Amino acid sequence: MTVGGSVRKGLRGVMALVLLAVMAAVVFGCGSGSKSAGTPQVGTGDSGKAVELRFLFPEYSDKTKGLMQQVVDDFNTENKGKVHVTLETAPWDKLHDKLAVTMGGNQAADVFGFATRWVSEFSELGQLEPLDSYLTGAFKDQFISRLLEASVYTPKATGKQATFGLPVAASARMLFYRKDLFDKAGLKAPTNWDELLDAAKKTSAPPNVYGLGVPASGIEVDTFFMYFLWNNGGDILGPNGKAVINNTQGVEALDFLVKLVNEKGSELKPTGFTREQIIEMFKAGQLSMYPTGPWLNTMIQRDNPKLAYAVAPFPVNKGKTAATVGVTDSLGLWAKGTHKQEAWKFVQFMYQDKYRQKFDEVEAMLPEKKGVATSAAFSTPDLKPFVDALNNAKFVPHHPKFENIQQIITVAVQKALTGESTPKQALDEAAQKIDAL
Amino acid sequence: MSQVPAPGYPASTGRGVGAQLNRDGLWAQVVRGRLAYLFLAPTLILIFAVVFYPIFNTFVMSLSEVNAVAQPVRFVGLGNYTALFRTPLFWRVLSQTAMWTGLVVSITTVISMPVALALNLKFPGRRIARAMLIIPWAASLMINAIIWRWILDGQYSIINALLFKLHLIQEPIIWTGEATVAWVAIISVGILVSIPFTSFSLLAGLQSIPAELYEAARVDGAGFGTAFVHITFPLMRQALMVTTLMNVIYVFNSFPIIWVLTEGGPAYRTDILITYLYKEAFRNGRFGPASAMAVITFLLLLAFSLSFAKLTAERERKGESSGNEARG
Amino acid sequence: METKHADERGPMRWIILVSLGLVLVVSLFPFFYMASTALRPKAEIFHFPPTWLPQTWAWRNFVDVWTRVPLARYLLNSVIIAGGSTLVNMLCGIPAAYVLARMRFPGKQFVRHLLLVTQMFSPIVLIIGLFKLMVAAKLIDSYFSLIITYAALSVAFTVWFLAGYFESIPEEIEEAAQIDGCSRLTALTRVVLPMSAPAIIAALVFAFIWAWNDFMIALTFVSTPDMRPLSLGIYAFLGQYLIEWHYLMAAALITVVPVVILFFSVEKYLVKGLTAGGIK
Repeated sequence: MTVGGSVRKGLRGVMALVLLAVMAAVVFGCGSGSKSAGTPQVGTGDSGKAVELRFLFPEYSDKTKGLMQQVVDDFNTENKGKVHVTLETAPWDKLHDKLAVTMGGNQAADVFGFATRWVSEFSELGQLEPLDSYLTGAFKDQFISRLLEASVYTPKATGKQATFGLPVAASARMLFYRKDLFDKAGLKAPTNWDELLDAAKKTSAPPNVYGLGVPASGIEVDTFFMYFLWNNGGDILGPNGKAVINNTQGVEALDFLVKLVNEKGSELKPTGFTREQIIEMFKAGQLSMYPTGPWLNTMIQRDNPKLAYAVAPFPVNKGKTAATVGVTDSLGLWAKGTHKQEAWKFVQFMYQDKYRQKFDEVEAMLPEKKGVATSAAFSTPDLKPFVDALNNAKFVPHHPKFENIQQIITVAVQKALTGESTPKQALDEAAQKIDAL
Repeated sequence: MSQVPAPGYPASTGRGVGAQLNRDGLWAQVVRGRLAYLFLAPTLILIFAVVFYPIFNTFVMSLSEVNAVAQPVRFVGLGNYTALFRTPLFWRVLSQTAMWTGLVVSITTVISMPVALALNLKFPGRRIARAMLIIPWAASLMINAIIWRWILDGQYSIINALLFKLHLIQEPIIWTGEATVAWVAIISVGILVSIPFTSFSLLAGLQSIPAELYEAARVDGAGFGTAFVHITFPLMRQALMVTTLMNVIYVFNSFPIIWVLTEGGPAYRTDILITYLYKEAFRNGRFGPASAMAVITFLLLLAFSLSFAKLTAERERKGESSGNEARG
Repeated sequence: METKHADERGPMRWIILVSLGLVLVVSLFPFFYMASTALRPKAEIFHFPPTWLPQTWAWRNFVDVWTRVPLARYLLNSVIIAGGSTLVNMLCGIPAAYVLARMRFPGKQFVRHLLLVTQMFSPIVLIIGLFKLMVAAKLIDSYFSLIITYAALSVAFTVWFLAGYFESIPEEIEEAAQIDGCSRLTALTRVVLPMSAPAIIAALVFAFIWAWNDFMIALTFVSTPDMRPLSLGIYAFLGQYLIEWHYLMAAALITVVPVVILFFSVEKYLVKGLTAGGIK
């Protein structure tokens, strides 16, 4: 059997498929029907067909779909006969795959949510619409500017700086700690790394309680390392775009994390734990500390309201400047979409305070609009520290291959934690790989 | 992903294009065979339409520089391949793949043999035993893997709880925390989900052995052991080989168990080719090298199957095959 | 016919029976624990140390999962998709298997190899190409795209499996029918198919399960939440921040049970089919 023969026949097969597809469209319709060509479902008696828009949004929780469907339905009712939006959702960890493949297939959604760290990757490929010409006056002023700036980037391809997304889910990370365990051990919230290590060891009582939760497997290993790196004055990339993760501050940060784990200040063998597992353990009372976003408040209130905990800034190494780890997700327009004006209209619609307020509250995200940030809901003792922390939040740098950088850092942290390499070796290797990208 | 074993064995029969066919011209043969082509058409159209473009696409991407959204931008010849061959990580993942496939397939076969023999015995509850054994096979690999992820959880592992209770361990075993322990866990799960298919295949092989042979052996005073060595095992060779070939294809390409349990971590130590290439493609956006690995995977399996088919064919020519089995 | 040395006595009998027992215990243990987890209230899931059985039996998990996610809709999607692809698979596969078993024609060996080749690419590898293809055909997010993809990926097995079985049916029976005035086609439908019922049922079940269990292709093809099949739908309980093990296990159990019942019901034919299909 020759490959060449198969390939030639493959091409003929594609033509056969097109035929099949035409037949199929007649016989089967196209699934849910909402997207199938030529079946306008909105508007009765108008001459023109409604503009069809697709809106892809990640699932932050099992509530996300309902929240977004409400916005979409309201919009569709208001724009009956003119614009019709269909909601699509994807599990968070599959969102990047989905966007990459749909963009590659020229079938991306008109409006979509994405992680802000992907701005450079997608804008370099010309997939993200620059929003500056749409973002004007009063509408722009509603946003907390620090968050809006997170998606400003200058693609090498065009050399033109632009805003490529609107903040749609923001978080600042703080240290959750067990008030009762700390009180019992006579400790206060740690403010520097010595206190952190001390507290981690003193509050740990295996196998029932461990100190600091360290998720060194799965999707957030790199972000977790930023707590240490940034609070030791280190960074991933220097001003010239070269890796500096292996400088003294970087190595010191990873050294400290390895030391904390080796001296049993964390759960055993963190490379066997993902973020989801660590969150469950903290919630169930089996960890004394874990740094994460405001959503943990909501989860604790729902699942284990008796847990005695408090929130503090993540400790900074002595003599270094503190930095809050901030993460934002953005909402973007597909640059190759055919109805960008209508898409923007939908974006403006969904950014009404009432929708954002509800979304931020239910999903336990931080407000990205000034109006929401000052509301009563975000002035509670649980949430106020997070909202305030947002103002000096630090975000990951823009790099068109940031996904690769995340993988590289994850592997470096894992190698150091399992003892395969020393922290210095691991970070040197990481720096070399980052520079080779 | 697939629970259905791959049709690894090209169902070779002694027939085929016979001497009588060769006397006619090709066109005459084609005309005579038109009913055959008509019957084959739906299958071939389906396969060409759906499967061959993706395969073609994989080949093209493996020879191109591909951007992060899977569009080929430049032809680079064998560049992706040579770059791979220069990456030490690729060779390590390849050897991990060989270890994973080798251990899972061989241990599964060794365990499945007595299981098949037992299922072929008459004992009370045999039907229930057969039915029970099917359960892990019927549940998808994904679901099997998810259950095991929970059983092997770092904090809440029920196995650790058991070992604690038996005083076998002083501190919990973190099953996915380091490569060696993780491999033990992953390979054990791999074996458990492969046992049902293997056992049933071997059982099918056992049942095609004519009963008279055993009668004769018994008359000669042979015990179970002697009968197994001289009758069962030789006549089972064909079934064993086919089952092994299927298992190799199927385990080599198996994705969910490793993905759900470790995602190949820590630091690529539990990756196999298929999980590594998935990461390269979808996490790192390197579709070119990922496609090259896909092609390498395919070529390895192809080479393996062909040498296997050749081996089988040789055995058939030597007339060692047991011939057609009697159907009830 | 079923057992060849069934009356074997002695120590070997016990050794192999005990190994079967051990394998069964270990194989069924995860499913026992799955059920045990599915029946726990949430508070008990993260109780340390874990227990083998729930302290309080939370039967309502099985009620709740239906409302936490649109499980009924997912079930319907799965039935349509798996059913449809099984139908397409059989309609294409049966005639092809018959031809490969009975007829001589140029290119027969090529066809056999072609079928084999389709199995050597893991679906994971083909996902990108499949996706591009479905996008070009404007079939993304439709039942049809999943139906033909599953059928195409599983038809090779059906053909291989059935061809082996058809070969084992003596050709004389068919020839007798043809002499009686039946055409080749009627011989197929009146003689070969009824005689092959066990193998056809087994192949049908295989195809159905293949489609029912797939996850990756569905993940790539399906965008709108309401189009998800069960395998993808239950993934919702494996969240970004937390895993709701009790619901996940309950939903997984609901997914597994129909397939296990199907498999149980054809277990007898399965071995027969495998016996004839190539494993000689």
